[in-house]
Amino acid sequence: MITAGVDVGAATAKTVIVSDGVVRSHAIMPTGDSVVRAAKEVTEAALELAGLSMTDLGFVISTGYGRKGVAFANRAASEIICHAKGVNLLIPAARTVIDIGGQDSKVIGVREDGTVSDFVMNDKCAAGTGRFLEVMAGVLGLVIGEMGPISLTSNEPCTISSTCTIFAETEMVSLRADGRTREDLVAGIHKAVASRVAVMGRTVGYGEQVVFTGGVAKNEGVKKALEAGIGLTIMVPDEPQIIGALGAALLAEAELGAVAQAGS
Amino acid sequence: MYTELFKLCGFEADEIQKERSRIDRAFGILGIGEEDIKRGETRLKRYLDVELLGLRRFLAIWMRELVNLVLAKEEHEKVVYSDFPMELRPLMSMMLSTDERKVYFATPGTIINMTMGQIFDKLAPFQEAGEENGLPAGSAHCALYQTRLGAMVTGAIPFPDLSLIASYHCDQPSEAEQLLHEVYGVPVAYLDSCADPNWGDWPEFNDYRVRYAGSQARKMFGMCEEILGCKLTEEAIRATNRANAIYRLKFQELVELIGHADPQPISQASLAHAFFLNSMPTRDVEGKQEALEILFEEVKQRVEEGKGIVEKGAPGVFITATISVDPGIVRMIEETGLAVRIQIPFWLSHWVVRKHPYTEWPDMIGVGPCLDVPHSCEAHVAINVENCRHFNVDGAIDFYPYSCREWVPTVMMTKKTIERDLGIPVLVLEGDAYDTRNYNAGQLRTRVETFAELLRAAKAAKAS
Repeated sequence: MITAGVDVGAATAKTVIVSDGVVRSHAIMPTGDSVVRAAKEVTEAALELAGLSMTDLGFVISTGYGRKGVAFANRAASEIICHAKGVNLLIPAARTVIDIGGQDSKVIGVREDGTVSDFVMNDKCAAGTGRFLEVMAGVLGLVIGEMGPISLTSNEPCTISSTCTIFAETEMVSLRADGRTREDLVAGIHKAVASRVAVMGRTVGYGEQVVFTGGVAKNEGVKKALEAGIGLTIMVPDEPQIIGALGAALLAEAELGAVAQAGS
Repeated sequence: MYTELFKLCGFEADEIQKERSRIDRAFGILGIGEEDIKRGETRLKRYLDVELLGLRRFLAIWMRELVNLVLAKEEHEKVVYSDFPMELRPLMSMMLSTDERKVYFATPGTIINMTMGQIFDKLAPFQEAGEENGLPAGSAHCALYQTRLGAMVTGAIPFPDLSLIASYHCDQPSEAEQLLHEVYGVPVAYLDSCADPNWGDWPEFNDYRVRYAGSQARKMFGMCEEILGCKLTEEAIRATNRANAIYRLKFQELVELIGHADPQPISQASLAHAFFLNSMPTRDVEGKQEALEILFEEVKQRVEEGKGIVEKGAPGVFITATISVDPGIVRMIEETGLAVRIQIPFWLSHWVVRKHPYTEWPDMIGVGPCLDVPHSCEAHVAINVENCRHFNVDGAIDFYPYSCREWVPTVMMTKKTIERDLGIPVLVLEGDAYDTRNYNAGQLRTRVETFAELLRAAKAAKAS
């Protein structure tokens, strides 16, 4: 029983291939200008790694912003449901998921069985998302991957009071002119992102274990700032970007199993 | 070019022919072209239950009023405007006291929203013009008033000879109308109220507040009589009371029928077309009532036949607002498999329909805001909770309209109270009831789909 979860996000497309509850392979690539092409290519890449082809797939669930554009998917599911399911497989004790992607952020309450108890989502404002980090990295002339390690060496993170990406950019330019170090500036940026997300999630509440997913979870500096913001330790899965796709593949497996059971 | 569109809106071929020159002229002024008409046809079929004659009759009234509004100055001596939150009774009683051929009454913002917004998705040019002419963007102005100002300054609709405006919900109507008066010289009559009860006062209302609003209504009627050269008549008041009560009670019956039916028989987006005529002073009183009676019978038949637009047994939700400019949001919610049982303020709670001691017409007008949502934040929350309770919903969608001064303060209070008192989940959904430029159904879909899955799972667990 082979299933796939295809997560077409704003920045990247991810596919996870699952067989009997075990991850066989995964692939990640930029979404680019075509959801349809990205979904197809990333799935073919994941299948190739597993030594499989499209015809081997028993059921496919798509998720992410581009979920409706995945023609070969049997159905679409929201990424919130998928993130909860994916995290539940890897870290069954998880009760809260913080997901920060390229263009949105979410805080999700998770039950013991991997279903969602509550959630809150920001997709209106770039502040509190990966896009905010990209803009700030551009201003400082950094590559996004450099930001985490740099911020960890800061002794006195700046305070960026603006909650809007555009105003925060102006504020950071002023702080730079005041002679603040690059380390303090980057750590301040991380603190600003973390603060927005931490406050947003209060309506859901933070229950241990807290797990951090999405592309931004690869940034150690944001993780550290989030831990300070919510006062709890945060775990990050080995590959935080594929959790939505993993959850979709697991949901597909459950659905395929249910169909098979009904058939027999 | 627009024959199919008007047929979808309930026009007969002979009426289209008869009205062609007026429609051509109005569409020309509004800049409605072939592309807009095709979009309108698509949206009508996509979002509304146009197969129902009752709904088509309502659409016909809205389209006629759009044409009447655009040509109002050419065809009448005086034009009188109002808009939300002014209720229908003062407008209707004054309108029925005037000569139909001489005076045109309308709520232009509502007409434009229900036609240029709902049908043509073409509000942005008006809103941008409103922003450029005194109600700037980024200042949290109400888009309803940006739209109507924009429509006036672009020449799409005429400036009125008198504006009647109520400010008991928030400051925006009076702020916008002050601008209309100061800059464009339009006389404005205000129906004010003092919305400052103590927490704990609800559901009681105080006599002072009613009489204050009543005194404002007296001044408003006086100004109408002076500018329009007419007298508010007892006959018009009686006709207003009768027509308003008959329509509102039938609408309440329809709301109850839809809200308790499983499966949900028609879209709440369609029902909105009947609801908004509750506050629009059309002279087609009989046509409006007939449309409602037809729609009621059609819905009843659907309920008896078990026909619906969502699956039977779908989780039911309450929405804390009505989005008048975009039927796509409500349809999206229904398409995720949720039955929208009720939207505020469609249903009249027992508090709203209770008896009061006032007998003079202006005081009776003054009672309105004291009984309903504008009583206080406390009333707003209590009425939201009562809607959930009465329609036994599985969850609520708490609409968070960014620029709405009245709605925003109660959003989180409503969420907390419903979750605490009724034990059902509440999804907060951001948007703007009068402006679709900052959000769309696609963007909100992820949250609603997730919420729908949560409600389905909870309902299944409860059943087992």
